[in-house]
Amino acid sequence: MVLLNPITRGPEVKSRVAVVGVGQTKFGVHKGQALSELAAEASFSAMADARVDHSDIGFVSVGVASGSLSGQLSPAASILDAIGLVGVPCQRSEAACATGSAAIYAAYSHISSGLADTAIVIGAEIMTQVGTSSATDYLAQMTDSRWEYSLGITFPGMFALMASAHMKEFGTTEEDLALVSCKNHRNALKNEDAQFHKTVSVEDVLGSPPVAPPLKLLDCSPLSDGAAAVILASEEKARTYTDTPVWVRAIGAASSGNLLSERKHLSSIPSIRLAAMRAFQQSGLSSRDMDFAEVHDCFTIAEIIAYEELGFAERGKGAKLLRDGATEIGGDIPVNASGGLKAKGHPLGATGVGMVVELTRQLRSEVEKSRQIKDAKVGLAQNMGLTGQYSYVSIYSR
Amino acid sequence: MKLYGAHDVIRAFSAELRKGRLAYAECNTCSQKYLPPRAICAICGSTSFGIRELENRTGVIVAKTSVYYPPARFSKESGYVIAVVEFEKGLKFMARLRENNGKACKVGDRARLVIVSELPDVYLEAG
Ligand SMILES: [Zn+2]
Repeated sequence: MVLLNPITRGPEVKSRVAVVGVGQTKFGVHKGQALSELAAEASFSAMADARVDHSDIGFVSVGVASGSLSGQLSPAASILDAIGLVGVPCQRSEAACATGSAAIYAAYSHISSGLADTAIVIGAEIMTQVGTSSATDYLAQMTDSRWEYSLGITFPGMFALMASAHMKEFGTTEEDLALVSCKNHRNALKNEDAQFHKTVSVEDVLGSPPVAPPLKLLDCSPLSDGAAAVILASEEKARTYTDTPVWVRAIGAASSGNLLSERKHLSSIPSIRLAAMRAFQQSGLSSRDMDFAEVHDCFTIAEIIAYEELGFAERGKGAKLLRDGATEIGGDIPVNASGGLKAKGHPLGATGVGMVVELTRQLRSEVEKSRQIKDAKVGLAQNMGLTGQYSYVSIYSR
Repeated sequence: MKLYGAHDVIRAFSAELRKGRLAYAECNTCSQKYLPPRAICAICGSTSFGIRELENRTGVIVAKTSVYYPPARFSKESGYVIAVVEFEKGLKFMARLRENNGKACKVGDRARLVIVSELPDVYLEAG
């Protein structure tokens, strides 16, 4: 599909924006915990990291994808209470699995435009308290109600359709998909905050129960509970908190038509490419300048397509990049050193914010030594909602 | 020039289905085609469309899966097949796929859209 405005103007930037503090809970199963309690844990950790004054925070940006999953509709108010920022302007953003990035985008817009000097972004989700069948239903309801959900399609189903097209078009195999899972599980072994700490072999993936062929259970990210928070500040304000801020170099945002079947190639996600183009244009950087990346591997096929749309590999060559080891820690472009959505976990609203937590810690050389990217100066985060109806590609640097 | 609202478009599509016809919309300004029809063109912003019939309802399966972990309300049907088929003019449509006598078909095979009545009573039939 041709696009209306291939290049959007970058924001009217009154101030550069910095990350001055980050925090997150462990991703996984948090039995009996309320959404606001997880959100508060991540927020206090980020505020302590930034050594920010409560009274400095001028905007609270909340990202929660689904009220149905946690039983807490309009969750921002309860979170505001739990973090003691009552009275401060506050809003919730929603963009399905890219909800966290949408919340960051809202705070970034506030600061870069001068509306606020300091903002906190809180992404959180509870997904394990309603049972798999209901959770699958609530998530599936995010697809188009008339043309997609009515068929009984699910998110694994949507990405399975894309995988089947990619396999037919480019010869990508089920083993290739499995390799994504193996790599990300291997990385998560070294990440304390990850949901899973287990080695997964190609045979394990291929032998796991079919969810939506060609995708099997170990091709799918899990249902997760968790929260992540970041403190953003204007350049002037950031200098008062820290000598070593991490800079938001660009946030490229894009969208696409709602129906998967309208896409010219079901093997591609054009909104990722468009968001990346915008991020590279805003920052003056290219995919070759990235030292590492966190990408949206909600299902293994999504990571392979992300390589291609971000320009790490040519279209159709994503699996080869993976097989060559380029995306391993120590490779040319390490991808998902955190374990990714697959193994670190995917609490929807927390995911995009958690990516920024990971990028910031990598850029400050603060992650576990065994998974630290050497001399990391510039990192990229790619987060999408649905099958790419919402896309964010952002670039952060020391 | 006829101005369609979103609801009119769906009504037109359903009315055609009831007559056993599959309708698509073609933008009168830039010729972009939409299945299902829509009220505003995503390419040029035009709201002027011609509603046309797609006569050949046999196409090629371009994507296919089976759903083994269905949403709660579909749980009794677990294992159903969903496919995207590409018709002529590059138009694609997602629907349930019925495979002949349980013989699995694959991406690249042909399938025909069978219209029983209006939505959701349409499905793809392999072969
Ligand atoms: Zn048009």
